[in-house]
Amino acid sequence: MSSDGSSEYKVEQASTSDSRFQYFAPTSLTEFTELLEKNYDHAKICAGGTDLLVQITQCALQPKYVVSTSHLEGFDKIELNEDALNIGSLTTVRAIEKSRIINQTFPVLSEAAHEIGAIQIRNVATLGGNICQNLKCAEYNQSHIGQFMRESIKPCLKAGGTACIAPFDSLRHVVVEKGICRAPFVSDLGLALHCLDSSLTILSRRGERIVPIRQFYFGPSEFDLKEDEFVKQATVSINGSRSSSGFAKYKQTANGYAIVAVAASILFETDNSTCRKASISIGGVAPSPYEAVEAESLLEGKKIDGELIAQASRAILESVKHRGVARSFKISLARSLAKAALEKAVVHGVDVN
Amino acid sequence: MTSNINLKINGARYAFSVRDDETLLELLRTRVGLTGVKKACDAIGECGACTVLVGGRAIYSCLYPALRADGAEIVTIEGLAVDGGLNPIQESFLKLGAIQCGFCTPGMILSTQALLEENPEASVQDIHDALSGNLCRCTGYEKIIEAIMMAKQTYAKPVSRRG
Repeated sequence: MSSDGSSEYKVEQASTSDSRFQYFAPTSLTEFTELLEKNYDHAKICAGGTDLLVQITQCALQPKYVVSTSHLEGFDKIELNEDALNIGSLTTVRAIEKSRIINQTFPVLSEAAHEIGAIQIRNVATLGGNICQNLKCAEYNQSHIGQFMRESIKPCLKAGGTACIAPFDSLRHVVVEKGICRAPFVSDLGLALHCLDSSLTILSRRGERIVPIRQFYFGPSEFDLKEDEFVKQATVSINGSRSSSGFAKYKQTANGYAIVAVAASILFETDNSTCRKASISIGGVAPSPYEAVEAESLLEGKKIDGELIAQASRAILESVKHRGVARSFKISLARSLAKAALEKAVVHGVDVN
Repeated sequence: MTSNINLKINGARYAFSVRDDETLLELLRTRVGLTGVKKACDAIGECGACTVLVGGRAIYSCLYPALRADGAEIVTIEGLAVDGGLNPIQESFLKLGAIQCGFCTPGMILSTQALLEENPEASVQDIHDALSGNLCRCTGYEKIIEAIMMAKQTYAKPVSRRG
């Protein structure tokens, strides 16, 4: 433990002249939220740090203060009660992947967790960090080459420029344009929570509030979280009847983010074969989670079989008009991944019940 | 001003005064001189050359603030030797020539160590999964997988199960 008893927050004070940021590790929640409030706009939360430190290296974020959650306790619990599954925001991705409770109730979450980065990342990265991660775009914060390239061109919209400079037809950008930034939504756990219609508990000095995840991801590359707020836990409600879920993702490298990822869940009627409600959330194609309503409506009210799943997947993103080579590829990828995710969901449904 | 932390590295205790933005990678390489911890992509989280074990779990030391490691137990490639001899994983890497330039090897071996500690019966699929975060630019993956399969057999025997 740190022996620096002189500082107020039992924190590791250091001169800022040679350090890029000042690091705080508060030991109580009150100190933590106070620090965030006091340093509004200048402080960033470091939970796992696997996204934040990369963002700092890439110069996409330059916080003055980094507030670590490493000494906070009690936010890494996975609890199942009669009507809901609660996952603390500081639960590591690895713990979610390995949790038997999650695997048995909402396999989409553990499958999504399994697809995130490599084990070295998953051992450290947290649920909260994954759902609140910075957007990923070569023109903004990705790759070494990109960093040099970025220095030689005008800044992108997110970096303080006036326009989005991302190419129109690209594997790593959106297919469905919503707004002015082409960076895609890439949080896998966010996607899984989105298809499960979960809600987040958000905490700050002002108190707690509960936000449904669909409102949390309200706009293009933006989420409903102020600089001094902290996601405390995610809650997935259990509605009694048989539900099943699955996840499928395509990425190009082990630590790469999703080119396309699909989370699907099906809620069955009491006969265990008719679909009451289907939910398909697609990542990598739009700036926020894309809800494939076109496919969901084809599934609802019908008996689920292989043919119906294939038919529903073919309907996905049918309305997208302008397509280049990369965009067409992403659309067919979304369709085949949706098919795989739905099929996994059906199989898990049999296993679970 | 800097802050003080205590670490246990490869079984020995250390006290450091560290800069706020110092990573565990920097600390291990420049202060302790453990150059088996490689610096390659440097805080991008791509290559796995900087893999070390913190509390028995493999992590990227380039994405781990040194201050966060306060009180932790760290194992690097230098700490794997058993009674002055090579660890069974190191031995099988050597025997099968699962090394080309050798730069990725410490990370590969530490990832394997973490895997076999957790699951001594690891399948080829488990190995692929556990090593997916370690890149080999010489692309010599086949030999590495073979070496791990071989190490697994030695490792399963309780006598040699030491970290």
